[in-house]
Amino acid sequence: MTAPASVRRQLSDWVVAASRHPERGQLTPGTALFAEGILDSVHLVDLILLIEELGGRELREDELTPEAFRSLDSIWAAFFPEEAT
Amino acid sequence: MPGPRSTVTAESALRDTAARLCHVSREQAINPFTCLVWPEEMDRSQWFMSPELLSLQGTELAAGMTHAELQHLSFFEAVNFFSLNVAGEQDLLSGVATRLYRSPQGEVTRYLHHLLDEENKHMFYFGQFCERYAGAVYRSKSVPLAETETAETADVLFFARVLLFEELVDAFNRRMGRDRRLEPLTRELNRLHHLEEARHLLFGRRLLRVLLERQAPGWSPAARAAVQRRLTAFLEESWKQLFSVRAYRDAGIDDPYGVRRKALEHPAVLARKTALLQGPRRVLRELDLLDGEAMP
Repeated sequence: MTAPASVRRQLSDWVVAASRHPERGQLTPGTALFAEGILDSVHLVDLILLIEELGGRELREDELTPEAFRSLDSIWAAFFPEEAT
Repeated sequence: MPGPRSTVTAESALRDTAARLCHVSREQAINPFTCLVWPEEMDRSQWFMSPELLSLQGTELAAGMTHAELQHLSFFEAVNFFSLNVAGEQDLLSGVATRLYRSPQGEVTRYLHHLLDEENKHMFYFGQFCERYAGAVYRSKSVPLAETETAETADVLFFARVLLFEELVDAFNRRMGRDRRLEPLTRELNRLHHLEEARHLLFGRRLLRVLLERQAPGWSPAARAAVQRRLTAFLEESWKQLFSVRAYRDAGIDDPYGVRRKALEHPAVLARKTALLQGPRRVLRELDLLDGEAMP
């Protein structure tokens, strides 16, 4: 089982590495990943698979909402709720 | 920038092509509802993808797999490939249907009806294969992000995405439709798809040329760059979807996530990517839509 801090760090590191435009601004937990152009749709499948891998379960179709993927914080709350509280 | 004369030429080429393709679609119509024979059960100890086209081909993992394990994997990779086709056709059908009869287009509209008819049939046979022999179509994992396309680029982006996806899929269909090692029904589905897609590809290129001549001159440099970036990203997305965690898991492969990640970066896979994406990249280059920054 991955430790929560490690999960958060891995997600954040992945986003930084995946973004083609790191100069667009500081990535914070609340940064709107897609709306601010940090990521675009080409990253979605990889991001979904990373969340599955870190969480140890497949995501259901009804979980794949824009709100859940808005920011690192929303990903955290939607897919790792026990660690978020 | 194309002048009025070349616009007329591109438009008349489109109309002529559409008229000719309508004729071919009528004369060579295929009815998969009646012409296909579906075995009651599918023996999975056969090839369902050409072994050279398996996503893991060339990797150390594939080298360590037995012939039987690779054939087993080929079944689930075919299910993934057919499922991607179903998803692509669903997008195409809804996008084309909403664009019909916006304005009088004569032969072009008539051909779009054939295209819808044929794509519906493709979705039927690919979907049926998955349901009958794997229990279900693999659902694509996506998130409906907010629409970022502007009205001035939406049609070009839509038809270019369709064309790129069809080009990529056709690179597989062309080879697998004549590969005698493949399970016969699987080979036949690839062959049938290639036959009709060859027409759709020709039509798509002509249509895009017209759309670009009508719309692109009004684009700002930023809008053009956004279109180029979006299409290049779409091609990359489409390529990555051929590497399916679900297929690896169903084939009994350990650590399917890690296997996918490593495969996507493997030199043998990158070499295959260059070869298989040649067609779609050529289309982008011909239409001056290649994102030079991302794809030299």
